[in-house]
Amino acid sequence: MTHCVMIRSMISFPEFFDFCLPTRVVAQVGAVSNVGTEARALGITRAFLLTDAVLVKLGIAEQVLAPLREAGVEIAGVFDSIPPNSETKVVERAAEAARAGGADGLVACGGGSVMDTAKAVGIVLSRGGSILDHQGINVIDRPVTPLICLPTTAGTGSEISRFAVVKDDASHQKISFVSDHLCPRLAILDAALTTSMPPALTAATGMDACTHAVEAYCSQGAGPFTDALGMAALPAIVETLPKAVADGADVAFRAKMLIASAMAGAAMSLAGVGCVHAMAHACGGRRNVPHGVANSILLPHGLGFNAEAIPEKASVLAAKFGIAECEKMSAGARAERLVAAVRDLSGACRVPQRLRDVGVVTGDLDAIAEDALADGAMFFNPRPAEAADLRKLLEAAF
Amino acid sequence: MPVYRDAEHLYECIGGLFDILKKDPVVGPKLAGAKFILQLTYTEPEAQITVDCLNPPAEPGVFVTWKRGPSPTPPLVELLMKGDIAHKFWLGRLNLLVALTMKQMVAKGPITKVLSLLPIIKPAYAIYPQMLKDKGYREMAP
Repeated sequence: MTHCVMIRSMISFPEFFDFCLPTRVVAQVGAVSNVGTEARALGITRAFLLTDAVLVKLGIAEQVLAPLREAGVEIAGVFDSIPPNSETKVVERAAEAARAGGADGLVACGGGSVMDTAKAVGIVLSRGGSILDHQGINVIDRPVTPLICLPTTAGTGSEISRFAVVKDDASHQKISFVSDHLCPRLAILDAALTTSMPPALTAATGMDACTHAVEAYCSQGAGPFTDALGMAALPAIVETLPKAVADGADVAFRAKMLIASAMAGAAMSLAGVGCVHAMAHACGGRRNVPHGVANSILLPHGLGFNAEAIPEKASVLAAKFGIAECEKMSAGARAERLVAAVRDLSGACRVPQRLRDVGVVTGDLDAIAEDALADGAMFFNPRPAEAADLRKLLEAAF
Repeated sequence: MPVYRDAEHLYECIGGLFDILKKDPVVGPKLAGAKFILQLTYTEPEAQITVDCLNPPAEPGVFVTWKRGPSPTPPLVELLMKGDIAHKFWLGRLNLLVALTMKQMVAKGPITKVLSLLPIIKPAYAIYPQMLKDKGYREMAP
């Protein structure tokens, strides 16, 4: 076996890992037409649709509602007032509407904010109380209201993950819910639902998926199954994302991105992420920087920092980014090329390159570093970091 | 058989640790800086400890307070686990990632607050086994 082959095949075999993917995944162009049959198979008789106003206007929400009605599923209501960074008050309003409509199942059609809101609504519907009562890890210990997800972006991985994140409108901080019971029962990956996504959103969400694949692989929580998912997704994203940005109407590019995003999302859900996500969450909390954009800006910096601690994994990542003869380079040179390759990808997709370009100001950096250090994602980062380390990375990304 | 024979034994050991930490010049001020109330709820044996890192104590040289039983005001964070898991944790022998994945621990409340405590309490992993030995529980701190 050559050194190169050894590098390319490196996966984690830790003493402990846990793998559970409760979400059934169906992928086909036009699969939305089967959502009613699928809902009935899950025992849903009154479905409540969560979506956003743009998707209603584009007629995409109706593409979901029509097959539900045709299959004899009653519509318990439609909630389309979900903003990009959803909040607890939105969750409470939507849950109230779903309860009033007698919903026994939820259907989410939208991006990450819509799907995370739907998960939180499911918690409130099935467990009662305020959504704030249920935040934490393993607090949700029983199945919640069944949820079907139809993602209209390719990046968040929420359609397959066990996380939900919403903003507490009182404290303005993101709050997290982590439980296997938050995995949707079904993810329908219909690429036709994503073709209306504008290039900038395609690029930002696609870079989010790229970050999931990279950080899950580097995570202390990585295992053989998550490595396989993430490292299969990554080259597909690297190859396809610029094409999907350039030609959004091409359903083949969209399908590949949607599937790769779900695979990276599964890896992220089970392995965890790291300092890039921690800093991106903090930028989102302080300055509302879109999550995918923040991840894209910070990924080369976080990866450069971590590469030193995980040289073998950095070699695998370099190969996945298509860096030729990476096995012949020194670890330092390989890390440099890897960081450059990430920048090339985000540059080709025309994602902003600097934090200063997306509303962050110099005075924010200390607070963002402190917020990031306390973020749950840091728990999985492969290299220990102090606030000063994160401050340096943020400064470099500024 | 559980490592703590009953609630009184748990309070003696974990409570004893907090008696040291609340006055510790390194850990104490950092705990006080966390500014929230933490409730530790145990099973096998059933016990509860509330650590108040929010309200400054009146006693000089003490940075935080702890009491037996539930918090009089709703805690911001509650951690639930068996006594044996808590013992392993304070010995520094628990992989938190594994414990959470295996659902041996429930963390209720803001996750960031829970995780922010981890670097603060690191010195306790050395203090706890020494304290057990000092109390005559050498077999609990191999």
